[in-house]
Amino acid sequence: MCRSCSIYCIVPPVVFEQIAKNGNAEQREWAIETVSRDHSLRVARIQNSLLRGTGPIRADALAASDPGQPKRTVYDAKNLEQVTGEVVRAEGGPAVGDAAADEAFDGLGATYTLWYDVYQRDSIDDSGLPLDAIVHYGDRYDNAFWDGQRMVFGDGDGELFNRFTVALDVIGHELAHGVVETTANLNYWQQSGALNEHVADVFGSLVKQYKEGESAEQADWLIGAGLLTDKVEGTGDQPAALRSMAAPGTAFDDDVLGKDPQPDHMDKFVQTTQDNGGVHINSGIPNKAFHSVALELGGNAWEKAGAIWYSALRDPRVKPTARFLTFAKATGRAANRLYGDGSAEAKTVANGWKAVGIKI
Amino acid sequence: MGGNGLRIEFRRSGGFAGLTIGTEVDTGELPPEEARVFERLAESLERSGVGDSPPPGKPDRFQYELTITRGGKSRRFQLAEQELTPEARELVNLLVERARRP
Repeated sequence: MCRSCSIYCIVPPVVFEQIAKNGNAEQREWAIETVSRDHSLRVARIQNSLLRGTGPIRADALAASDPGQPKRTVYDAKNLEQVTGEVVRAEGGPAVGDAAADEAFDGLGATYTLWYDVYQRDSIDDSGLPLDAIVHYGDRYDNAFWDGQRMVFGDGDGELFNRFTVALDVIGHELAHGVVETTANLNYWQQSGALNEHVADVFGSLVKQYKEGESAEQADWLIGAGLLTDKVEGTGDQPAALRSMAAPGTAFDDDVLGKDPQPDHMDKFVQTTQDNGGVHINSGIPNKAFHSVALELGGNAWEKAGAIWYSALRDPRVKPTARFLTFAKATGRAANRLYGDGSAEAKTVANGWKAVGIKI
Repeated sequence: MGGNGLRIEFRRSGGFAGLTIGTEVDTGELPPEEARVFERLAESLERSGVGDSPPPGKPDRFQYELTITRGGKSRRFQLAEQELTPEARELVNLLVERARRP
């Protein structure tokens, strides 16, 4: 009868692990629904391992060493296109005075902290994956990426782009691609690819907001602010950034780069074969939906809005080929599950998607 | 080289920024030494047997599209950054360098 006597009183965690390994889709879903009602750290860790999909479940998923502590190493590629190099900074070591190395190190730490503090996720894979970063990759290389095992940062060409470690949300974005890979594993093509980009922008922005202690109202909702050089023009008084989650299509308007091509509504969805079918373009649509939801819910975006989106990302019905509508529905279910059927939060989520032309 | 030159149309898309840059090269208009480099690398790409269909995308990696025209015949190549041969990488880096010029 006691209210603390949840299902966990009678079902030992090992059973959930077994379901994760051997259960059919329906059983997995039951387990996920069940564990989602408990917010203890231990349960979060079981849930994260359950929701990792049909891939192998690590035997150590519940026993990672030192949970709560990132394990960071930064390597210097010395301007070659290689993903190895000299270790320039490792966990516990002091700042080294190389801006790219120190920013990468701090950014990995800030990203780890958001995922662990707020979502009880122990690193990218929720099993304490060490976080490695390569800096000074390539010659004036205009990019940063997660290659499946590590972060890679270029120095930028200095004309259009500064070094890619300069913006914390870029680091958070890249590592979020790693989280996507170990959860919904969204295909990087067309709508599922744009969702992959969207989720990376959401959590990239949340890493920065959490670090800065900014509410949804206070945040600038820009991706890559500071990454473009002073030579690139923004819109109006706003300094140039790569994307605006609050107002997709307004991040830059420049002679060289042209105008930010992001749409903010399904009516303006862009069909293209470039950029893997416009994954960095159409992500503006779900980005705008997330921004609307976060603003309407108020307070800190990483709390309710972030929790809803993270839960949706681990919904077994969100397959690698998921389209916007599938993911949007998953956020609706997540809001019902986390805050109650028909709750104000669930209505807010539905309204956010409706505003961009997606009815859930 | 003159009329035996080849023409390369190049576009890079994707990357974290998702911005597209591009350039065109006509080797007939280049100094002979530079023209020979482009021709050698283009031939290597043509022989490599890759690039006929879009490669599977990887988050925030670049995608490249090259159209090589010689003797009036064009062939299009679609390449992913993570799958470039050393010669293709050299070619792409040269083209990116040209695309950056104002």
